[in-house]
Parts: sequence; C-alpha cells; structure tokens
Amino acid sequence: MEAEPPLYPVAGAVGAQGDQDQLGVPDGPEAPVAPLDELVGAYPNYNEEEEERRYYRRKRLGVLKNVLAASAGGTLTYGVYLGLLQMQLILHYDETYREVKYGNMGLPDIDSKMLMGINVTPIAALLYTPVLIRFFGTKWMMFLAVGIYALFVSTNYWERYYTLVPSAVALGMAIVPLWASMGNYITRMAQKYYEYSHYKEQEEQGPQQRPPRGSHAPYLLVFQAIFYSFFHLSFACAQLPMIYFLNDYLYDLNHTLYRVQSCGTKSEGILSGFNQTVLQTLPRSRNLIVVESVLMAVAFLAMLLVLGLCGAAYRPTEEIDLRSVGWGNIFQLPFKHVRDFRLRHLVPFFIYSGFEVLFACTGLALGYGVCSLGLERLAYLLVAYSLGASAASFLGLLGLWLPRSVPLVAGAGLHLLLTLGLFFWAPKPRVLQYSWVLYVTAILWGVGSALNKTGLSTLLGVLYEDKERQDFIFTIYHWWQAVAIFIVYLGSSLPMKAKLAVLLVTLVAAVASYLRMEQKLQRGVVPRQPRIPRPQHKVRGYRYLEEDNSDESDQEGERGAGGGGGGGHREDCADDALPAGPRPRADQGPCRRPCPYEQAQGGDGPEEL
Amino acid sequence: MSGHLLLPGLLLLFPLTTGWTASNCLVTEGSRLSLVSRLFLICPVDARLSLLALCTSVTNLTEALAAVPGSVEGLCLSGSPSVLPRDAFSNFPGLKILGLNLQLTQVLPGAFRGLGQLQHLAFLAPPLQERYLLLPSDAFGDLRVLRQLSFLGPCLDKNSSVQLPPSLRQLSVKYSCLQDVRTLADVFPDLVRGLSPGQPWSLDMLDLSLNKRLRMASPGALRGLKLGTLHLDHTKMKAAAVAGLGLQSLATLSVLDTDTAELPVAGGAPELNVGSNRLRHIAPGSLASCHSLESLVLQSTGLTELPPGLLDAMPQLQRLNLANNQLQRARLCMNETGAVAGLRALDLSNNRLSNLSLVTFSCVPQLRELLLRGNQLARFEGQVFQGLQRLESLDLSKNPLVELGKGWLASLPALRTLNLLDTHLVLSLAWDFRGPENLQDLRLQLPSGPSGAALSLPGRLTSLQLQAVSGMKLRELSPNVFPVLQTLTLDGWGLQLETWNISKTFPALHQLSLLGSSLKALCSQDTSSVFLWHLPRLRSLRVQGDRHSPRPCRITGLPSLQELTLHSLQSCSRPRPVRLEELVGELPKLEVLQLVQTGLETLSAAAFQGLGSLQVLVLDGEEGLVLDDSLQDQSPHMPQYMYLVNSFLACQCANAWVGPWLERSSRTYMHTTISQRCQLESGGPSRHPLFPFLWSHCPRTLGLGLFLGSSALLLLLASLPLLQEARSSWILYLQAMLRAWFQGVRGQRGKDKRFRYDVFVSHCRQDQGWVVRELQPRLEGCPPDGWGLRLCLPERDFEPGKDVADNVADSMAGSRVTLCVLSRQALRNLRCRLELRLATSLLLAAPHPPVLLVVFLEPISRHQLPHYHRLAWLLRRGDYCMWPKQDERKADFWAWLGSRLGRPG
Repeated sequence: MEAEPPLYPVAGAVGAQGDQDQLGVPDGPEAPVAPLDELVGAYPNYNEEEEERRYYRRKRLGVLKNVLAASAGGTLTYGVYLGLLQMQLILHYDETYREVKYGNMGLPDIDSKMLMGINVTPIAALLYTPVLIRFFGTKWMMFLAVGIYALFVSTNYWERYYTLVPSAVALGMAIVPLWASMGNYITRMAQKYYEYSHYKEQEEQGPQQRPPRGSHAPYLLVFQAIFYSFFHLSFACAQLPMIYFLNDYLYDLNHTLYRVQSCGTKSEGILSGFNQTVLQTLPRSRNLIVVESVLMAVAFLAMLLVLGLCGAAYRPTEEIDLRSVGWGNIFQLPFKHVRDFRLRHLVPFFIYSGFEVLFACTGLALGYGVCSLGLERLAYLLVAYSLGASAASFLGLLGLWLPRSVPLVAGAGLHLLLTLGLFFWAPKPRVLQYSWVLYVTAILWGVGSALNKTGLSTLLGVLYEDKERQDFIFTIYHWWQAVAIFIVYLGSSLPMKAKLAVLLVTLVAAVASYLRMEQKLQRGVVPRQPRIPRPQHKVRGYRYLEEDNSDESDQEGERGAGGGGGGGHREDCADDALPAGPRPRADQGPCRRPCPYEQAQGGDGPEEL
Repeated sequence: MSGHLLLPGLLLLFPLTTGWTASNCLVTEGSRLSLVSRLFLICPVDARLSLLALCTSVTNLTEALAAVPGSVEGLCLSGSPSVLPRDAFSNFPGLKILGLNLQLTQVLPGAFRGLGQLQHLAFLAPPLQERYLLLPSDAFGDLRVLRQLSFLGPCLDKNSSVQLPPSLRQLSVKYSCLQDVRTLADVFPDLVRGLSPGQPWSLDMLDLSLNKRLRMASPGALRGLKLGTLHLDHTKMKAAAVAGLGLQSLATLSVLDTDTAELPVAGGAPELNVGSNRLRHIAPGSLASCHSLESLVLQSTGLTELPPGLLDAMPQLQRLNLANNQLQRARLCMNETGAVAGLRALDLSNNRLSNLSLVTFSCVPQLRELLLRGNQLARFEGQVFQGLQRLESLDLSKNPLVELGKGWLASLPALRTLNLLDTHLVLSLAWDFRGPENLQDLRLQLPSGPSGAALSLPGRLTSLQLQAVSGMKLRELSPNVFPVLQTLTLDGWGLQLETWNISKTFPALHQLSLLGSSLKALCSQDTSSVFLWHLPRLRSLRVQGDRHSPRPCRITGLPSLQELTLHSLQSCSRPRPVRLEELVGELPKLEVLQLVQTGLETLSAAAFQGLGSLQVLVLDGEEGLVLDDSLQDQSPHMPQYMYLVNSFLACQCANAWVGPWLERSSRTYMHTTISQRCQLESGGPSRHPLFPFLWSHCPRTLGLGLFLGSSALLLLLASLPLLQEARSSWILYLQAMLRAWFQGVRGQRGKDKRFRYDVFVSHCRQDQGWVVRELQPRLEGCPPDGWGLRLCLPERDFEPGKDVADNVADSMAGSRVTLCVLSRQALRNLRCRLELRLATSLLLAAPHPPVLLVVFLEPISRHQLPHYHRLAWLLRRGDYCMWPKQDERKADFWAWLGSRLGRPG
C-alpha cells in the first residue's frame, strides 16, 4: 500500500468508499463524499505537488539506503567469512599448531571435509534456492544467509568435527541463495528507484501500464556499480586479520619458501614444497578468541544492517503473489529457463565469472604471489586486487554511454592479456625484485573482475526486467558460478599451465558465446521464455480479513474460466519480456486481469482503489 | 552401619589423601620401592619402610616439607638450602631414614630435634667440591637410636668435638677431604675417648673409602676403637698402615684398589679384601702372614697362577674369591691325598679355565657354592665333582659346554641350584638329570640335538629358566606336570606345549617371565591378539620383548595377577602408537603395572575398566603420552600412584587438563618429571614448560561458551524469517485456538459478565424459516420446553435507524454467543457473510472474543467457503454442528447446542 499517496490519510472519500466496498453492504447509505472531503481534507496552503515530490524523494532516499545497507552487509559478511577461512587455513596448515592444539583430532581431515562442504554443497543449490527465496522473501533470505555465514564464524570458536563440518555444509547451502537474492535485491531496487523518480509519467500512463523497456537500466548500472564496489572491498577487509594479527606470527619467506623450486607457470598444484611450519610462535588461544570475537561482532553487525536497514524488496502482496505460483512451478522454473537462448549463451560467461575470482585468490595470489614473495605478503597482494576491483567497479558506469557489451568485453580482453602474460611468466621464489609486477597484475586483474561482475549483473537485470523471474535468473547465474568454484576445487592439484589453459579457453568461449547472443538479439530473434503461472492464492492470511480483493475464490474461478483459461493468458504474460518483439494483444484481448508484473508496476490493481 | 564403618576405613587406608600437590616430591610406599628405586639414586632407602619421599630441587625447605606427608618414614631432600634450621623436621616424628643432599654449610643446633626414631642419617654433597660442613657439637644429641651416620661428600675438617650418639654402629665418611685418620678422631673424639673411661667405643663399620686424599694414618689415631669392618677402598692408604692405627679389634679389612702390590698383612683381621689391586703373583712366602684368614677376596688382581699350597697355608679359609683373573688352571688341591680344607664358597668365574682335572675339587668336601661361569670349559669328566657331597649351588653358565659327563650329577646329591645358561649343550643319550633329589632351581639352555626327543627335567623343580635360541626345533617337556614349579622364565620359545591345559602342567606357577620372542608364541594369531595361557594362580608376569613384534599382545584373563611388567614391546622397525587397552585387558587383581618402552601413547578411561585393583602404574621411557580427558571423570578409580619416569607428556592440547588436575587431585598421586617441556617435532628453538604453554595456547571453555552463546543468538535471529513468514498464517490460528481453549477452561467462571443477549443468531433471509420454526422456540421458549434464552434476531432486535454494520457489531459484542447459521444461500448473501466475517474477526482480534458456534443447515463444500470463513473449519471440534435432516438425530443436535449454550439437557 505504500505506492498509494496517502497524504493525510483522513481523506474521507477514499476511506468511506473503501469501507463501503469492503463491507459490501448493499443497503448502506451513500457516503457523503464531497462534504467530508471539504471538512477534513486539504487545508488552504497545502501544496499537493510539493508534498508529493517530497514524498517520492523520501522514497528514493529509502531505496538508496537499502542499496547501501545491502552492499555493506554483503561486504562485511563476505569479508569476515573470507578472512576467517584464510586465517584458519593458514593456522591449520602449520604442523606445530595442529600437533599442539588438535593432536589426534585429525585437523587436516576436518579442513578438507569443511572445504568439501563449502565447495560441493552449492551444486545442489539450483534445487532449493528459488523455493527458499520465494518462501522467505528476498530480504529475509538475505538475512537468513548472512546469519548462516555468521554461524560459520561462530563455530570457529569451538573447532570440532561436529561443529565445523555441519556449519560448512550449511554455509555451502547458503552461498547461492545469498548472492542470488542479493543480485535480485539490487536489481529490484533499481526498478523501484525508477518508479519513484518517474511517478508522474506513471500516473499519466495509468497504473496498469508498465514502464518502457530498459528504462531502469541507468539506475541499475549505478546500483550494481555501488554494490560491486562495496563487495570487492570485502577482499581487503578479509586481509585485516592477516595484517593486524597473523602476520606477526609468520615466518619470513626465507623459511617458508626454503624448498620451493618453481613458481608461476611452472608450478604444480598449490604451493608444492611450501614449508610445513609457517608460524614462528603459536598465537595464544586468548588472542585467537579476541580476533574471532571481532569477526563475530562484525558478522552480527552485518546481520543487523540487513535486518534493520534493508527494506523489503517487494510489497507484501507482491511477495504473496510471487509465492502463490505453486511450489512445484517455482521448483521447475529455473530448469525451464534453459529454453531461453540468452541464458544458454551466457552460461560460459557465468562459469568464467566463477573461475576468475578463484584464480585471483588461489592461482594468482598463491601460485604467483606467495610462491615468490612469501606468505607475509599475501595480504597486501589481495588488498591490491581488492582495491583495484573496488575502484574499477565504477568503470561499469561506462555502460551509461557505451553499448552494454563494451565493459564486459573490455574486462574479458584485459583478463585475456593478463592470462597470456601469466602463461609465460615464472617468478623466481624468494626474489622480491619484481614484486611490483605482481601488484600491478593483481590490480589489473581486479579491474577485469570488476568489469566482468558489474557487466554480467547489469546485463541480467536489463535482459530480465520482470520481477517474477529475476530470482530464477540470478539463481542460475550464481549456481553456475558455484559449479565453476567446484570445478576449481576439483582441479586444484593441476599444473598451473593447465589451469591457465582452462581459464583461457573458458574466457574465449564465453566472449564468443556472448557476442553471438548479442548478435541474435540484434537480428530480433525472439527467445522462448517459460510462462510464469498466474498466482493462485491458497494462502490463508490476515491480509484477506482486511481487504476485499482477489481472494474471493469463487469470483476468481469464474473470471479465470471466463478468461479462456491458461492458454490465452499464457501467450500474453509469457511474452511480456520480449526485448523488441511485437506484443500483439497486450492491451486488448482476453487478458482482462493485469499480469502480476503489471500489477506490481502500477500498484496492485484492486488494492489501489 | 556399613557406611559409617566404610568412611574411617577409607581414611585409614589412604592416610595421605590430602595435601598431595604437584610439588617436586616423589612419594612411594616402601613395598613399591623397586619400581622407582632408580630415582632415589644415592639416597639411603629401605624397602621395609612404609612410606618414602624424595624431594628434589628444594629451594625453600619449609615449603618443600609442607608437601610431604607427615607419616613418611624415609625422606630424602636434594636442593640448594645451605643452612639446616632449628626444628626442621619436627613434623616427622616417625622418620627413620633421612638423607640430605643439600648444599649444606651449617647445621644449627637442634636441627634434628624430635627425630627420636631416626636410625640412619646421611649428609650427601656433590663430590669433587670442597664444601665444608659445620656441625654443632651436640648436633646428634637428640638422635637416641641412630645407628648409621654417613657423610658422603662434605668436608668435616673444620669441626671438632662433635658428639656421636652412643647407639651408633656405622660411620661413613666418604668422598671427603680427609687426609689423615687423625682428623677423624679430632672431629669425633668419642671414637678414641670411648663411652666411658675403660669402656672403648665400638663400631660395626667404619667406612673411609673413596677419600682420594687419605694417605696418612698417624700412629695410634684410632687407639682403643673396637671395629668390625674397616673400609679403605679407593684411598691411598697402605694396608700395612692399618696395624699402626691402634685399633683394639678389627674383623674385616677392605683395601680394594689401594695400590697394594702384594698380599698385605691383615693386621689381625680374619677377613681381607684386596680386590682390584695389581698383585699378579703371590709369593708363597707372603702366605704365611695369612694363616688366620677366614675370607679372602682376590678378585680382579691379575693373577695368572695360584701359588701352590694356597689352601694349606690358610686352614681356616672359608670363602675364596678368585673371579676375574687370568687363571688357566685351578690348582687348589695338590693331590687326592692332600689335607682337607674347610672352604665353603669358591668363586672362579671369568677366568680362563679350559679343563678341570679330576683332583681339582678333591680337597674341599665342605664346599657349598661353586661358581665357574665365564670360563672355557667345553666338557668335563663325570667324576670331576666327585666328593662335593655338600655342594648346593653350581654355576656353569657362559661356558662352551657341549656335553656333560655321564652321571655327573650323581656325585652332587645335595645340589639345589644349577645354572647351565649360555652353553652349547646337545641332547644326547647321556642326558640325565637324575641324582640330586633336592634340585630346585634350574637354569638351562635348551639343548640342540635330534628333534622329537623330549627334554627330561627333574619334576620337583620350584624354579626353572629355559633359554632358547631362534630357529630351534620345538621340544616337548618330559614330565608333563611340574607340581611345585613356582617360577618359570622363558627366554625365547622352544617348547611344545598345549595351551589349553597349561594350568595342569604348571599348577603352582606364581611367577612367569617371558623374554625375547616367547610372548609372540603365546599370543593368539587372530585379530584379537590376546594372551593364551590361562594360569589362575599366576601372581607376577614380566614380559620383555625383543622389539620385533609388530603388534601388541593383550594380556588378559589372569584372575590372580598382581604384578605385570611389560618391557620393550615397541617394534623398532615399525613403531606404532599403542593404546593401553591394547596391552592389558581384564586383570581384576592387578596392583602394579609397569610399562617400559612399550610405545604407549594414549591412556584413556577405557583401559582402566578391567583393572579394578590397580594401585601403582609406572610408565617408563614412554614418550609423547596423551592422557585422554576421560581419565578426569575416571579419576576416583585411577591408580593411587602414577609414576612417569623418563616419560614425557605430548605437547598437545589433549593434555592441557592434566596440569590443573595434578594440582587438585587428592586421590591419585602422580609423579612426572618436573620440567616437562614442550618438545615440538619441528618447533625450532623454543622449548616451553609444558603446562603453562598448553594453558595459554589451548582453547578452553571460554571458546565453547562463546560458541554456544553466539550460535544461540544467531539461531534466534535466524528464526526471525520463519516467524515473519508465519506471522501471516498459522500463528493467528494458533492464537485463536489457544484462546478458545483457554476460554473453555475458564468459561464457567466468566459467566458473571453482563450481556444484553445470550445468543446472536446470524442467518440469511432464506434460512429465517428454520430459525423461527426450529431454533427460536427451543431457545426462547419457557422451560421446560424451551431454554429461556434471550436471542438477538436481526429482523426483530436491531435498533431502527442505526447503521446495519453498527447494529451487527454492537449486537454481536453484546451477546454471549454468536451462532452462525450457514447454508449455501447464506454464503451468497452479503450481509450474512459480513456477519460471519465480523464474528470470525472478533474471534481473532477482540480481547474477549465471544463464543462462536456454527450450524450448517446443509453440507457445504470446503471450496464454497470463502477463505476467511474457512476459519470455521479451524474452530474446535465442538464448535460447529450439522443440522440433521432426520428427526431422530435432531435430539443430538439440541443436546450439542444445549451443552454449548450452557443448558444441560
């Protein structure tokens, strides 16, 4: 109901009329509309235009606040998670630490199980992510997933098999839902922002009208740039435990790299020959608890940010509509979207998007960085990557002026050049002379990552405007990323050349496939999109006690039958997202009732009375 | 009653249950002393004492003594205090032995006050350091029963006139800076002065050995002293000088290693020890001065030949020790007709004897003990021992003996102990152990020879040791029952014995030692790997492995076993960590368990399940021990004493609980090496003290608490989405139903509220007929036909001129019960639906909702009910009813309605 401008809600006309309609009392007296309005309505110096403008400005600021809060929450969560994981893996790598603290507990085994939990569980995410998102709603899904990340931090207080492994599995389950709902949320915010800034045009067009295609794209670009700028900062945040705590305990490179023979393109696996002891002295458990408590507090803060500052992505009625399409349908729809050639063409890019982040964190940072510069400089290398990516996320704004493919292809080209360069570079272990090359490479890789991430997310937001499918699309995107991460996890022992080759091939395939898709769209090929079924309200809720509307099942049934059933409806609603396709019977024809999407755009039809 | 007796009984049983802290003191019972005796080193100890304590690294004497139980009888202190204060030991009235290995320079008067039972006092100091000890003249005045006083190390030269207690029997001054025996007489003038005029001082032993500077004996230095034994070993004193000391009497003189080049004149002492001097040759003339000797020790003197007529020159000689010389022939008896000597013990071991002539032992018929070990004897005639009618003990071990003379044992009727270890015997027809009736102790190398022949042994043995070399064929024992055999030692495995009736073969076996590979042969070969011999009376078992066994054997099923020692079981080629439960199983009577180098790693409570009586656990040479924290719960049943000797706890957090536990535990006394350190495998230079290190590096309950707290908070927060989700659906229903139930519970009490109507009847116009015909008469009619209730019927009772909605709401609020009459028509009627919805929403939202009853006039499909009207479906079972068509069932309907409206019947 917030779309309705209830300035001074005593506006008697609406109230009385609403009452009458709701009660549906036939023999009630006609409401005295005009006199009451005069009595309690606007006072003399009431400027309706001005008030309306202020109202929508507040709304827009609220949307901005939502975006910032979600971005900050995501950043903090991911930063805490990465930082903790990195710290614990380094600590557990140290032979002495394992020996002393965990003796016969089999810590390497636990660690490998934990990594397996994190990397393998997301493979199943395609099955449940849309269901979860629709069940809880986007905002609450974000909140829940952030909570699971925080739970992972919490279990690190008490490192046992029965705490770490289940929490790692839970974390693995939460990865795809979190980032899918995050992407969905940002996209949705851009659409809302458009609504609130173009409220006049909408009023003129009428509530049933949907905004022109791609109209929210500029806002989407800005929001995604903000989001990814924040998000990439998380890699830098993750290094703070290293910089302020763990680096004091680490041996220098002469000790850790003593037996490392080859680096970079010549290396095999992850840091073969790396010294088994990396800690000069073991950190005291009290200090560890302090560090973990700081991380835990930050994770809580992220939760509270999402809980308190992120507004809902949809109106309550929209949420109910979204989940009322039937759980079976929700389950199937991500798979049905494979019919859409645009998604099919983008899959290599999704995979590459997963590859390149992990390559930056493992291949580049470990195989090239740590291998030649020592563990103590890992943090600074990743900070360079992070800052580069964070700053370059605003390069995604180039899409405001250039064709949308340019930033995406530019990022890919940058990565291509870097990958080719890395193919022929084997830095010498324990030689710091060329460390600047590594830092520059890290920054440039970050720039490429940022262009890739912003470009892809924006593209998805532009291609799929209707809110019914955005969560499916983002689920598919992040699921493919998870698959990529899983592949990297499987192939972590491959030689560096093989990894680079896989990266290169994926990159070329991704760009080629993407350009082919753009070409098809140019030619006007119409993608097949699965129909989103009409909401069927089976939910009992208090909402229906207050408002007289679509829940009149008998009327609904009649009207649905009168409307020619699913067939006629299908055509109309299914094609509503065509980019340039003809929309033959959008305004006339059998679809009397507005599609849910249009409902959302123009308020909720009958609710708007 | 028994409970009352039990408690003091327990207290008596464990008098030391309090105050045992993890101090530097090792406490042990005297009977268990042998297990830890090597920790006591030079401390004077006696296994007969009930309780012994050893405190090392003492810096503050008072503090250290506070940790020692008061009932201790033997106490040894080592550390740095230099002054012994007054009344230092007044808390230990029962002390019998006291060793002070301190860096003492001064003993204050009255230091030993209260030690009325002290028998042995020793002052120890590191040798080679000139440390002067100052004693007050009456230092030992309180020690009324002191028998033995030793000074090992400290210099006493600066003292004078120290009084000795009259009960003193033995005085030792060793490693001291003594140069002249007269100095001793100056320090202890009592020695010369005597007890009283005319009554000389008498000592059993005066030990002045190991005084490297002692070279002078002023004539008459110890004039008048009656002395049993005088030790001058390892000094520079000449034996001849002893005669000038002026001793009143001397029984034994020991001048071991004193540069004596020829047999000295013993100064009248009948016993002489000249061992470790370079004599090489004894001139026959010097024998004359030894005419009265009873005992002569010529051990390690480099003799190559015995002087002829040695025994003849010393007719009273009873014990002769010629061990460790280079003798090739034992020319003791000159010929068969020589004089008969009274020699009782003869030691010829470790010489080069290769042949024994028939006359060798012909002149010593009194000989009881003969040691011939370590010679070159390969064979001897059966008649060699002819005439040794009284020989009881014969040692022939370590000789390359191949064959024994036929019937050789027949000439030794009194033989009790025979040692034939480390020989090369061959089983032949001449093999015969007949002869000595009393042979009890036999040590035998298993003979080689043709397989199949049984090994015949005397049946009355009480002690038997069998040695086997590897690769030997298994032999059967010839009598298959040894009725009195008590001690059996098997070194290697060479016997063919059935395991199932072993308790019949050795019915009296008490003590079993398994050395070398014999344990492997006695272990089941399946996965359980348990000890196979079932010996119900076995009390002591000692196993010493050969470090080749790949897996441990579990000792179990020995109901009487009291002592178990497992030694060197760890395989040196493939070491693997062992758990205690892999080594021992069900041993209910076991009191002492000693594990030496078994590769033990983990001790957990499970291992102690079958060891209910365990009192002492000794872990020796075990490294990297992990004490599982299940022991903490087990600690009431843990052994009372645990000694970790040369054993180190692993530097793992699993051991972190041990430190605090050691300090708190009052039941179990655990001794560990004081400076347990973290020896990290790759830890580099840092070596931290174990417990502080673990204390600061191991996560403790704080981590667990934080984990539980934060995850509980997280789960609470994470349940918010669920609650939020539920807010719209079932929570409200739940709430409504709970409230209805609650009202049902206290409904009878809420009757006094005033209602305008009893029942508000919501119905549509089409159903009005039913209401007027059926319902109204029954409800409003006067008793007994009707129930006399006040109905609110919309057509009749609504206030004219008032809004319909207000009328409905007010009437509903003013009625005790809302009765909805539902039919298909009613559901199509807007006002009916309004009324029904109002009723349901009141049910959900109002603070004191009315009772809602629903009457279905006809069956209505669930799908025909609007959503919110389906609330009615969620009403309690008794809140709705169907109007029956049949007349006979209408009575039920009215009964239901009556009960719901509070009208019985």
